[in-house]
Amino acid sequence: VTDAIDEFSYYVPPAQMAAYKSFSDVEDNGVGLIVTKRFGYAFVIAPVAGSPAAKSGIERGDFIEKIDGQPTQKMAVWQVRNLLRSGKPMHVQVLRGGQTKRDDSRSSRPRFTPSPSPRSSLAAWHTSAFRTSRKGPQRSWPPHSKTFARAALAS
Amino acid sequence: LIIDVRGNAAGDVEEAITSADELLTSGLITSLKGQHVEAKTWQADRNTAYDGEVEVLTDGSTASGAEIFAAAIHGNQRGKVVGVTTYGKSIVQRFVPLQSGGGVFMTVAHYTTPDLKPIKSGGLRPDVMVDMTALALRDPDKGTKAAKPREDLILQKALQLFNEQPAVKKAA
Repeated sequence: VTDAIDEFSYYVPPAQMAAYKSFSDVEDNGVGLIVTKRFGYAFVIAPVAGSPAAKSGIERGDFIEKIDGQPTQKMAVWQVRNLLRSGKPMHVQVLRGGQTKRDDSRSSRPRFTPSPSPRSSLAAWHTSAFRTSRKGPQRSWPPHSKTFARAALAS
Repeated sequence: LIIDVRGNAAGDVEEAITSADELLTSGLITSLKGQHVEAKTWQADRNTAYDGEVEVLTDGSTASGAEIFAAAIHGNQRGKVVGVTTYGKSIVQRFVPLQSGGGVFMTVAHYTTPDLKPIKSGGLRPDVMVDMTALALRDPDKGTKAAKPREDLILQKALQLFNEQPAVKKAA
């Protein structure tokens, strides 16, 4: 029934409620993958620019087939997001439009390991976003956008 | 001024609305509609940070607040939107508990364009569509490290439109 509403709605069965309550649904999960579900699979709306996901070669429109070997087909989108923000290095297997063979290309099996130690401000962002998932992605509408816009226009 | 909201798929919707307001002096920015949600509208105030020409770049990853921003610029004829149709995800979702003990996380409202069309599945169509298929055909090896950096066709088109504008005025 929820699939009939739209691709962003989902059902949480009673057995999953305990796990669901401990999950806070933030769009960005630190690895920089903004996902929804399409045709039963996790689907990449956008890899956040500069994020571990973008660096690993994941592109908009990719289907995430497996995360650490676990098929996304049986997961609700919140479970996919929950796995992605685990904070551990992970192996994400994607299926890209137009490719029929799954393991003939390096890019179809990107691995990414989020940087554990902040070296630059960007790395610091990844790490903090990854740990807490509270800080918004850089390529979005952060708080005080208006102030930034005014300052940029004034210069 | 070229504002690039390609790949912008998350963040604070209110910030997107106030950013659009910075470029508009009048008109509806967006409205929120849903059967069980209080209707809301956002009007642009007279203050503006910039009154020069504006173009907004979009792609299939432009979603949520970024779509509302692009739609506000487009719908108020403030500037051209250049690129690819956006994702279509300017919605509000809420968790509705069920008697069984489970629940449903569902879409309960959507944001609209200035002409009150929902920004949902299908997304926002730009004023100037950029055909990206040629690029995909030219670069079948995309994704591999050896591939050359791809041309930015959308930015090229936006710059070309800016350069064309004075010529159009002269002709008029």
